[in-house]
Amino acid sequence: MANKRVFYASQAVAVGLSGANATTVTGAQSVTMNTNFNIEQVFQLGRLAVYDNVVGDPTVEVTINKVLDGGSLLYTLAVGSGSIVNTANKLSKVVFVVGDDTKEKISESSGTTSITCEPIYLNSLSYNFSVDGDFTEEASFIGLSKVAGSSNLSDPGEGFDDRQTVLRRQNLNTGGSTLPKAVASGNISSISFSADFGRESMYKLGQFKEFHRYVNFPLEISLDFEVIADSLDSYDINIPDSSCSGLNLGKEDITLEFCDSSGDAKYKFEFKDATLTSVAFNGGDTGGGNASLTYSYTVYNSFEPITID
Amino acid sequence: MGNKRVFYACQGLALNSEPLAGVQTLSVNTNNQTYFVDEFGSYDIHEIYSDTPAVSISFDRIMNTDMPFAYPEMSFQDAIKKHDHELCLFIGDDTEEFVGSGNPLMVSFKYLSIESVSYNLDIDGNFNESIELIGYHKEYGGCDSSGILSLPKVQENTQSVYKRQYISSWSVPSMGSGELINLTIDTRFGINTVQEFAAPHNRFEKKYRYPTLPIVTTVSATTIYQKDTNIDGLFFYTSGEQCATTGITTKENLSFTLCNSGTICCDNCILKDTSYTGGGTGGDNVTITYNYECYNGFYISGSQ
Repeated sequence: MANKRVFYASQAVAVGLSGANATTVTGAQSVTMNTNFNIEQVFQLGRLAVYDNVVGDPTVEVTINKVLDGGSLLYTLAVGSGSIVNTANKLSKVVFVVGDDTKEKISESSGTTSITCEPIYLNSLSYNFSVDGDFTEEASFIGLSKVAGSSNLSDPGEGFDDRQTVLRRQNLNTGGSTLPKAVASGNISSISFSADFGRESMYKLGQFKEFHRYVNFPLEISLDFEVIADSLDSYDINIPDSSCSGLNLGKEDITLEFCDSSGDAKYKFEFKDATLTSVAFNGGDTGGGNASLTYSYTVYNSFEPITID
Repeated sequence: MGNKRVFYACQGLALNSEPLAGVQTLSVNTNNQTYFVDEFGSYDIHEIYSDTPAVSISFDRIMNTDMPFAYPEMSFQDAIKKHDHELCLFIGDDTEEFVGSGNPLMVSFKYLSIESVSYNLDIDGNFNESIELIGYHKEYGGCDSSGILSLPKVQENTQSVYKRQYISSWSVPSMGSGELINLTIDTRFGINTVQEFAAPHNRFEKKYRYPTLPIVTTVSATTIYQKDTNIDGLFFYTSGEQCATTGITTKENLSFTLCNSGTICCDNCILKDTSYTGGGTGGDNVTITYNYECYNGFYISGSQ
């Protein structure tokens, strides 16, 4: 019997390196897929009607959101290990499958519809770690290939029976992390960072398809730490008025390590030469909420998400 | 009811009785070339006379499968002697969908010479051809109106406009192995007209015009450089010995073949300069532009 609908149990997504098998993503929360044909109209003298509808550069964009559960990061599945510079030219593969809405697992579906995007490029990453809710990773991909089929995927792994699977606020390993000086002694309520690769296509005469999509360096990664304020921030601005002097903000290397509920290190995020760009003091208003300090850092190019096996 | 305006749908062109497809812009400049003569004893102008009125017509078109080239396929020697091109401008009703509907006005330009032709082939956008014609014959009517009725129809289901994938091969010997991303070819014929006694207006027969030789075609080819050993193709040094040469290759023949159509040929080309730019801290890519000058060697071969 045909599906009446598609809901979370009847769809699955897998990510892998291009040319290799894709691994079903565990903890996936949502998948969006947008296909744009970028049509251009051409007119000509002598006739009112459209002369030609030219397909420009069709693109397919896929965004996957997952909870961090100790399984491989979407980044690792898509481009393997290495920093974003090392993996800038890696090609990925995304397989999206819809199965029966009456089955409990995707592998049990008798008739599936699949879309395979290969090659496709990792285009952005975003991570959120908050005291409320699960730790999440969101990755978006962009590419030109989209092939429909009927393949299926293996089921995503089950959660642990005897302990918590999804990482939450207790899973930030403060001992294994190198936090910025400004927040190291504070009560961190939220950490978030994101990188938009801003990939641009490269074309050549004699071929319609792009031959590469490059990361637009220098790549800016923004990193925010929100701390529950117990005081004001300690940064003063004192601009010198003598010659040969200026303000100098130092750089810091930042490492964030996350462990699972058994204490094993699972993820590490490394940033080099992070610079504090702003401090914002908010809240504590008559509504009764707490004041917070948000420290924003900027990192250029040097970012490595690591899945620790 | 008369037209309120003329826009793209109500004007069309036919060149040598063949309707031009994909035309995007058109301009017609008519110059009366008037002179005035003063004389002693009077403020009034003694006489205003016109020399040889001339007309210059320029149009841009998108190259397409119906008509890859408007420039005629012929040898260079034949092309520089041909001064009898015929262009017809049709102007139709602004309330009709097709210029050939109703009763279009017609203006014919006869015995035209091609003054310049240029091509721009880029990875972004469509392949463009621009042609300028000059002549001394402009007549109301005088066109074969059957030509306008066969103006190319709307394209259905297939793409006909030429874009980056429609160049199938090229030959630029000095160019390295980088990816070609832009090609610009420009030829100026510099048509001169011979005036003659006893003819108040220049004759329009072809034998009284000539191009300025050498006819120089400039070719500019831009590639994305990808770290091949050829780099920009120009390495030179002199050994210091008498009569030593730099070893730079001299003449080259360039050619650019479009899919299922003709080849743009440029013979007798010299690589004038190369330009290695880009790769700056803004994150852009290095490109190398090869600039050639070709002498008396431009022609289109093997077009439909």
